[in-house]
Amino acid sequence: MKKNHFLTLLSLVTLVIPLFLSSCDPSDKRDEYDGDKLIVSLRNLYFDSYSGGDNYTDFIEDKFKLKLNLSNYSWADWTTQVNGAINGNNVEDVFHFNLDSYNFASTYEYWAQGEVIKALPSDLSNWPNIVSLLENTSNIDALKIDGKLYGIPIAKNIDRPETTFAPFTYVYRRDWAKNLNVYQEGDVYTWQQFNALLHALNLHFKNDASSAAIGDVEWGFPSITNFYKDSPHCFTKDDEGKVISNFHSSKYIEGLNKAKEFVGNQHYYQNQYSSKDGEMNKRYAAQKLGVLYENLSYSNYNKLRTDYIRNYPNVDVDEATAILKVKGPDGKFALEGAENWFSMTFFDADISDLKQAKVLDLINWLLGEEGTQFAMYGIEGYDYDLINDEPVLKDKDEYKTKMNGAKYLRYMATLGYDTLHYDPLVNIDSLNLLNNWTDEMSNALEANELRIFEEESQIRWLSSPLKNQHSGRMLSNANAYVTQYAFNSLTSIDAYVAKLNIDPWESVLNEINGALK
Amino acid sequence: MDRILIAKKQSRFHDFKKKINRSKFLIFMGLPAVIFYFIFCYIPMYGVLMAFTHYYPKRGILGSLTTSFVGFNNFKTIFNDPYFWQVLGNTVFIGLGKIIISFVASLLIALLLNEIRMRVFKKSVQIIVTFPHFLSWVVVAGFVNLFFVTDGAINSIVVFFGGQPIDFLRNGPFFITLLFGSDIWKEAGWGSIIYLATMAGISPELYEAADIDGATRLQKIWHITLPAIKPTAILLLILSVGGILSAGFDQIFNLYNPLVYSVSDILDTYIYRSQFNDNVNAGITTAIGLFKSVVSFILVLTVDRIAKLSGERGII
Amino acid sequence: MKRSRFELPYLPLRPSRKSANHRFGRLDVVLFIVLLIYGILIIFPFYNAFLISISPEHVYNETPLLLWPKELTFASYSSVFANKNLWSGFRITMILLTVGTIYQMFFTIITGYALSRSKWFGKNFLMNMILVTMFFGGGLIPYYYLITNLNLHDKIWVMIIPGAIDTFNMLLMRNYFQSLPKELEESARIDGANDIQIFVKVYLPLALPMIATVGLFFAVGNWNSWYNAMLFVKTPSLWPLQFVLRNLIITGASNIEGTITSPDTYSQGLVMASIFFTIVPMMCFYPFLQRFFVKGIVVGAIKG
Repeated sequence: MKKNHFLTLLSLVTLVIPLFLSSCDPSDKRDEYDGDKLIVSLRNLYFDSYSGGDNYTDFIEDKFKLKLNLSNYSWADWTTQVNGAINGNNVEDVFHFNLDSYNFASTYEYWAQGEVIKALPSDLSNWPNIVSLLENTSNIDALKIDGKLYGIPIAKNIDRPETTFAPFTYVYRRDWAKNLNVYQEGDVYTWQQFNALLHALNLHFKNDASSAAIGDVEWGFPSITNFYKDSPHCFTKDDEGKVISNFHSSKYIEGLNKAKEFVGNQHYYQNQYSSKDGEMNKRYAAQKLGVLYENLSYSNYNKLRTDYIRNYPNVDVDEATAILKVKGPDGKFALEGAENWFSMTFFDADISDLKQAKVLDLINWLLGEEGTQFAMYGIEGYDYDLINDEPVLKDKDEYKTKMNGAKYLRYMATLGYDTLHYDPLVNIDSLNLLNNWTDEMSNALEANELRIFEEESQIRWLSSPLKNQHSGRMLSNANAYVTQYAFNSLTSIDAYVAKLNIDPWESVLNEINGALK
Repeated sequence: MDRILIAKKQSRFHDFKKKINRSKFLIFMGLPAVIFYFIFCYIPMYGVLMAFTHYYPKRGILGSLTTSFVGFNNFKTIFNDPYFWQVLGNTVFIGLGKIIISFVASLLIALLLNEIRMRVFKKSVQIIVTFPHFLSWVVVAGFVNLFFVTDGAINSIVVFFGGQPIDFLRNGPFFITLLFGSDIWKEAGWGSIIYLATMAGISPELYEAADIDGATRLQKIWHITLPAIKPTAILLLILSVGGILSAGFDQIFNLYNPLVYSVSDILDTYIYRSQFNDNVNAGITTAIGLFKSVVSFILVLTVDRIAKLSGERGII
Repeated sequence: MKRSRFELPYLPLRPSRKSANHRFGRLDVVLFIVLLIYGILIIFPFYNAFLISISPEHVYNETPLLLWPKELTFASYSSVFANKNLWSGFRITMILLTVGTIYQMFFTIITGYALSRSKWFGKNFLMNMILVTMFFGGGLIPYYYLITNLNLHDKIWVMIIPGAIDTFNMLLMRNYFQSLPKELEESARIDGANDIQIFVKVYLPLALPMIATVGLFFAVGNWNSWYNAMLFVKTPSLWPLQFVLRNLIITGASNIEGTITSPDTYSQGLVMASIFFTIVPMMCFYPFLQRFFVKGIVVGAIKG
């Protein structure tokens, strides 16, 4: 390369940089109007296959003088899309993101301090429905940075605040259990009875390699450890209150060995860990599993039942999707603890106060009585009539085919669990079964027959440098090693521990313990 | 005297103007390229300045530079992270391994094909082995997953011979083998074309002379064929050395999974995951990218210099 | 008298040996077998994948290593054909193939031609400029930033515009133009042609083989592109085919919108059917187009 040409090149590059840099500063998002409607862009995971343009959003747009540009994320790329948009300064005005509980603190804090997200106004009195939502949100104070709240936590079961556990549990084939003579009354099994159930199912599937006694939803493997471990993630506390590693603890290792035993007995489907998202669920729906561990949210549970009704009309769906209640070796049920909210709706830091206020108006209305009725039933006189003050759909089948945009917009603040009983399209059977289960478990909790395991919130929401930098990777690595150990790629506990120790557990734990003193 | 100087200057300027005028058309032809490369390659280059900041997306690059300049701290953080060195080691290992293995494989195929006489067979084999190059890694990863999953085709053979199913996709060493193997499957055929063409250009008199001297086939290959492809091979090697640190993002991205991150993470996948999944600050990930570019550049210059010193033609 | 340049020798074979003492020896048999095995290894995955895409699940579970079809079912394919995302992906990729390829070819060819001419003002500058970009890049985030500033997010142009010039293909064109004799230009100038006419009437027709090759390279690149879509396109109706395919494969085709999951479909079958949906067009055209690719690489790289 000739020297003077190189210099020319260099000078060109360096000359233009400041020019371009100065023109590239992020612009303030000025409010733009379409006619007299303020343009707002919203992106939510649940806006799947919905992008506005129906009567219902038209009504909302007219009422609130907003023009809504809606888009959605895909489950597979949600994290990538949000992070990419944030770093490229290309976020929508209102967006939705799940802050993984182990990385929650650092991401949330990072965004708040990086001026990525806009705080909610300190005075929320204009929006009483939002206020009552927030009051019922568990651990709301942990979400405040300098007293300010930087997003709306999306409510799950605020109608039953005593439900401090997540519905991650088992469904099973009660009919098969009955046929194999291992059925227990009320679907309550002790640990021995549970083992006997799996054993019987395993024998039943002896000659079918594609079937198995039990399968876990992909992210939940190995569910057996639930009956042993103290925490679902990286950290737990020992008897003296010191924070230790969950994956190194003797309790966890005991559970892990049990999982390995189950794998060895071929109770687990042999390709459990290489299955893709949703595959285990499908297998259960295809009658290839006797027991399935899954997040029994209403939508998941209802989908299971609907699949059975559609694909196997000769099978009694209640018998095929019974909820299994298992008592662990300590004689208690075991469930993972959870907040009563999941993921948050955020506002882009650059939007104007006016825009934020208008969106809050919309959300407030959607949470209120009028808005809820609108989201669930549609337009009065057109979709439903008021009979004895109760809304009744005119034509349920026709209404089912429509997309009620308001219902999707409501997902900005709540996952809709609180209105399930009110939703005309809900499947009452599924809902009742789930509610019964929840009641039973709540009673068990009161009677000290349910052990809830969760990572203490003070650990979970601690933000410290090493923890932020490493704990995400530590968790995914640990899960990988657990799977490898269970499936015999790692042959001894020593090998498993050696692998775990590649990550800096000790320094992270020291940091956490120091910070919590 | 002055008049001569002025006249000289004028005539030089005049020549210069004439030169530009003559190249007018070509300058216009080259202008779109200048604009294109400037916009899409050079403007993003200023983004490497992010590596020296703690990046705030809302403040932009200039804003971050002025308000949160951290100098070389990002580099310090990176170099202190033991996982980074592991990733770097993986990258070098996989990158270098791929260069060597694909070179050997392509060469072997070219040699084999060169010795075939039947035109139809030669042509059809060529068509077959070069086709996978044109598939995207998405498709090839689909095939790999299909075959090597624990209840897949390959494991059914293993089980048939009485072994335990091997978890190819999630077991470190096997996964690396799969990486190299699938790379050969996809690219070796295509890579052999260049060598094959070079070999075909060798004058047949050389071979006939060797026949007369009574050389065996192997000797012919060693003494005639291989030296003839040496310049091409060296050129390709230099070109690929610059890409060692890239080591095939597309392939690994489509094939890897959390259980093999520790052995198959390369710089590009590490940057991608840190940036988009683990929410590491953009300053740090850009610093890793900058490190990668600088080192690649130095590598290419070095190898090119070495090649020039040993008498071959370089590319820079 | 212009010699036709269209018939460059295809991968010049060594002229058949006249020596009579060449026997078809043992080594030849070994070579033949080795290459045959290698060829089969390449073909076999396609064959096996195809069989799986037309077999029901229990057949696959029993013998994953399918060698011949045992039972046929079209459930996988009918599910794939009913998947509207795949069809919209196909449409988008078609647009990329036509518009994108022509756009890319235009810029690459004129740049290649310009750089093949000797001694004009700014030639070395441009050459060096391009050379540096081959080794040094800005990284993902600045690129993302650039796309945002150019307002290309979520538009189909984001998959076309940034690909205007591919350095490798441009070098191929340049080398090809350089390999054409200079006398052509000189004699055309003597005949009174200006620059434009020299390019369009003299060099362009001669370069048609290489243009075809480069065009095909671009076409294949466009057919396989998915990375830009992943980063910048959020509207599903704008996703190209390979990206839709990638989503299908990653999620095992279980719960993608547009896939009807019935007990007849299983993820491996669906994935394989989708894969074949995307590669069959290429498989049909490739044997006929292969010589262009080979010719192009040979001429471009060896003479370069």
